[in-house]
Amino acid sequence: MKRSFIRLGILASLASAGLVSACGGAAPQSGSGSSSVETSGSLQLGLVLAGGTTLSSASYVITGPNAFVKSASLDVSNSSTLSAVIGGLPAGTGYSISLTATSTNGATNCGGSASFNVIAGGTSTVTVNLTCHQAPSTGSISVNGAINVCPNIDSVSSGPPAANVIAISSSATDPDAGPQPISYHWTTTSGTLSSATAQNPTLTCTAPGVASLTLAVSDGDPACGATFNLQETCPPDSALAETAWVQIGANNQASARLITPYAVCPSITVDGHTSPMTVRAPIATLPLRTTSTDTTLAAAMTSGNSKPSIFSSTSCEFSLPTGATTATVAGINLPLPKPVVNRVVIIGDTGCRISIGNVYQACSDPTQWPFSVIAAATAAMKPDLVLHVGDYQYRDNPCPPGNTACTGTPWGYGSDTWAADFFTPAAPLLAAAPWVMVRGNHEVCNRAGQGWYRYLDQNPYDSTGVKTCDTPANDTVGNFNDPWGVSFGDTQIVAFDSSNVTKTAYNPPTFQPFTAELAEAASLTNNNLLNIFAVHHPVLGYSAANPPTLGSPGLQSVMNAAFPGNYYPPNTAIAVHGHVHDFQAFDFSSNHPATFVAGNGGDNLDSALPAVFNPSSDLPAPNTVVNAFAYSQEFGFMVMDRVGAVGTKNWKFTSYRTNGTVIAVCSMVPAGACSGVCDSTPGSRITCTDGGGSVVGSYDNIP
Amino acid sequence: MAAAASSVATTTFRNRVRAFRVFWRHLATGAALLVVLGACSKHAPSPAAQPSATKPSIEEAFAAGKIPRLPRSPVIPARRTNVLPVPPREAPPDNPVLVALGKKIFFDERLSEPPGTSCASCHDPARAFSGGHGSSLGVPLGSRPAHFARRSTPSVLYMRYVPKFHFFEDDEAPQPEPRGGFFWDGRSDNLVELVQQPLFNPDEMNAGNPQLVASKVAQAPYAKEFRAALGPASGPAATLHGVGVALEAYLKSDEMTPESSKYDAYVRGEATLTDQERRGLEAFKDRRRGACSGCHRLAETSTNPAESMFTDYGYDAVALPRNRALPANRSAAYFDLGLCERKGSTLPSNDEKWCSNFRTPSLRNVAVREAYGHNGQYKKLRDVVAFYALRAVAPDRIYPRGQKFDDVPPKYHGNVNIYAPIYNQREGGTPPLSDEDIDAIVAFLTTLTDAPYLSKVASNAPVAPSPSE
Repeated sequence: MKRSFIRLGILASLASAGLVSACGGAAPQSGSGSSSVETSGSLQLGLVLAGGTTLSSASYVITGPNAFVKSASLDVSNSSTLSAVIGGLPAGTGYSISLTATSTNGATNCGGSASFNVIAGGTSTVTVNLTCHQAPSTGSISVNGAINVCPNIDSVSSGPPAANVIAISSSATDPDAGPQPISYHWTTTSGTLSSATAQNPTLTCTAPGVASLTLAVSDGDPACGATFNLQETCPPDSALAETAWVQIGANNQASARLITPYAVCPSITVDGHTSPMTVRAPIATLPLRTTSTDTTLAAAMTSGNSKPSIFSSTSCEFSLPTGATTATVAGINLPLPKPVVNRVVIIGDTGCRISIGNVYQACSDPTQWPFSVIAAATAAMKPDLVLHVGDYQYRDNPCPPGNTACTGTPWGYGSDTWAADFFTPAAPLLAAAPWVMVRGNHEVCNRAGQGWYRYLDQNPYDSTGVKTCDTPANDTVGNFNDPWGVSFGDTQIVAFDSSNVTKTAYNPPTFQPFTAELAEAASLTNNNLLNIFAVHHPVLGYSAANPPTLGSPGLQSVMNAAFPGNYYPPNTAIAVHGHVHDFQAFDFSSNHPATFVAGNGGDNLDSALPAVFNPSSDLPAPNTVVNAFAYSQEFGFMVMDRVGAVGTKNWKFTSYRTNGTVIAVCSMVPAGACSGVCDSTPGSRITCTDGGGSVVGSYDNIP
Repeated sequence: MAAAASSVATTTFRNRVRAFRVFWRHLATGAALLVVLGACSKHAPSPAAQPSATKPSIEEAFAAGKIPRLPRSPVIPARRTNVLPVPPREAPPDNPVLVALGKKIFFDERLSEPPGTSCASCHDPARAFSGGHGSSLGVPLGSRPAHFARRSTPSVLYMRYVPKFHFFEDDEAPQPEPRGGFFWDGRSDNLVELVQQPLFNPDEMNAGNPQLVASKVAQAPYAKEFRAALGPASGPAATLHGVGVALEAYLKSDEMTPESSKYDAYVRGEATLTDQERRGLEAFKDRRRGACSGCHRLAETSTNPAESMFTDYGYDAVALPRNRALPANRSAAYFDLGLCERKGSTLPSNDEKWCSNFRTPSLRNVAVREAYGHNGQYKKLRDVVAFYALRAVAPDRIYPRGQKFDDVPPKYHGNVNIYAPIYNQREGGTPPLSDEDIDAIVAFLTTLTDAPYLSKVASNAPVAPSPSE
């Protein structure tokens, strides 16, 4: 085997991190000597460090073909040059040499490698780029001339995830503080960085799993920098305490819904089968649009009370198969529709009002805004179904400076406000049972309509952006929806969207699309079922005003046109409403549905009806005859309990206060038991008692 | 039921309710007899057959869920028709030169005819800028003997916060409601122009004509400052405009926005209300008692005094009793119609429904006023509070000779607010405010007195009995 020599020229650099660069000017040593007959060669190398750094030791490792390895130390004590000729290398290709050296003061470590081939009998000259690392933050190095000491990354660390946000911190030093201040540049393979150039950015995860981050620091010398790689684990959906619920739409179709800060939806497992949830509406910042505040306050010359809606969460959905018995998503066991419904909770008008020109409710005080307590109490009653009769989100405007009642509350119509006003306080009840979501006037397009469509509407989300309330020009589309029926055994809730009804009667009263929607509702009411008409505005109810409002003139006009004299579709036994912030119960001896108002779920309560008011003459609408009327202006909720077996269509309605006492209990008068004053719709007559057991008369303001 | 209702129509409402209750008991009993499985709870089937029996009761739910029992009947400020004020306008920084000039004009007694009556004569700084100018009728004396202004003197403190006249329609209110503007009828939005009204009103300052005022200003001790601040006047109209500009600066100044009452200190956490004052505040807010805060709005949770101006700048027909001492009221046919006399494009044409409505006054410094209400009928604060307590339940103690709402033309009686809390009580019922409540409310209202006027409180202290006694 012929041997040759190689000559190594060493180019050394001072660098404090792993990038190969050449900032120290060391000239390769020229070498000499060769033999042309040997089967092995040799290697010559030398090192000079500029700036007075001297080397105390150096060692090399040469690897080559056929598992050739050769290593040795070179005596370079108190030298600033290194040169050597290494012999005894078999001729061949694919060699590499790895060289390390340490300076006398121990503060600088140099290393580098290069590839070379060995020619038999010859001496090859190989240049090794030697990179010298300064020990982090310790020791010293003398720098002069053109030498720039490169910056060093001293540490990179991250905090535990807060939901989907991970705080990252770093530190770097540049001993010569130049030529520019240290700059930071971050990249990530996943998620969003709060800043790509901050020393301590946050990473907002957009999907579970690993995100690889790279930090590059620079001192302004493009040839001199440092990088560091960091792996972060974005938490799984199950660790995010995501909000998930089930709501029931048309044809009894149950829809699993979930809100996640991630841009991707998690998988849902239904009866052992796992499927992806689909994105209903993505994370978005929607442009500023006209709001009701703008309109309302235009005359009052105020401005700055509206802002763009930011939805920082993804709305996910999944249509649940009929009869599913278990469904789990993000570690949450979803409440599924029950085959037999024995208890229905009815709540309404649950938000906390922060509204210029109205009131700034004390949202952090449960005695002033009790929705969280109502949600917890009703969840503990283990309902099989929840009916919300509308008005979920009331925080229209900013809390004024200095007002401690509402300091710091989110406002406007974005996801933060929806979370504060609805999803967070409602959580226990969302976990307890499927919901039927009725839309209220606070969810019209120029209020919280954008969130209504993203989160709660029972129809598919309009990805074309028309029926989304995002553009005022399309509000006439976004403000109306078809009614739908949710049936359980012998009973059906017919849910009707009245959110945009006018305060005055329609002229002509065949106002579309309401007329078409009422026809649709009539096709749903079915005489085999006890039909409960759920519509936000009380069609036949009272509202304290000066003078009191008698029902909804807008709805009465179109409903009277559609169903003359009766207002409701045939076979409607019961009507349930919100809108007015109190509890009301009506028994009509005329042929009209027994009517409940359950608008006392949290928002600022309405004033009392006047004592001089007389339901016998102040009729809710022409052709109605009020036989009994009870009301209460206290916070509370309604519970509808089945009486007897399925098929008897018999329920008991109880209104509770937030202290657990009874406002009123209303029982259905069985068909045929009300001879003389019976109307033609079975189940539409009720008799109520107050908490003390006294039967309610024609006008009882329950104390 | 309709027949039953008409048969008892002549009885009191309470009796009618009783009649209905009796009827209902018969009905409920009948139902239970007719059908064995009646829905009435006392005839309910056995628990085993009751599906809801498998569900937790409310008591079990509260215990299992560790649900806090919230207190009943939270005291919530009453609302009239959902209407509360818009936020205050930004206070412009004072122009000290104009403020000083405006103050001199405000106190200039030379402008009236005959001289001797300044703005401050009626807007008496010792009475928080209200007063009678020596008149005890309830409306102030003008510059000439036996000439009286038409309405009582509103305080001109806190003008900075008064919004322009506008209609506000809350989303849930049934109709737009008027708000704002200066004067009892909101007829001016502009202080610069407003000041000419008392100046030239023959029953007030009677200043004659613009030329006369301009010549007096030109010779006034402050003439040099006037020219320096406002430039040489091109004529009487320009001089009057300059007078208005200077007065507006003064009226909107920090000096005229003292915010130095005990109440202000209380909301800042720097003072404590006495027990009686605190009870007064509760009764003032309680929608079952005073419900005063429905219109006289306050925000205890806010350290911003502008949120506690004790007015919603709204309008109401409260139907104060007629002040028979007023010269104009010698004619039985005469009525002060308030808001519906206001002219201008901002009032809808169907304005008769606003007849006998007057703007809700601020209650700041109310304890040092000499007269209350637009017609000055009441001279004691306690009497006004008692008026509200008694108007619905005992109108005979408010209005003489059974003439209910005697200062409202009969055709406008329908405009009188009988629906909002405290007005909506049944005649013959218990007054919603006890005598102790009334005293407590007066004590609370006294905390609205700004520091400069505290010495005047004693002379107007709540010592008078209720008006009928």
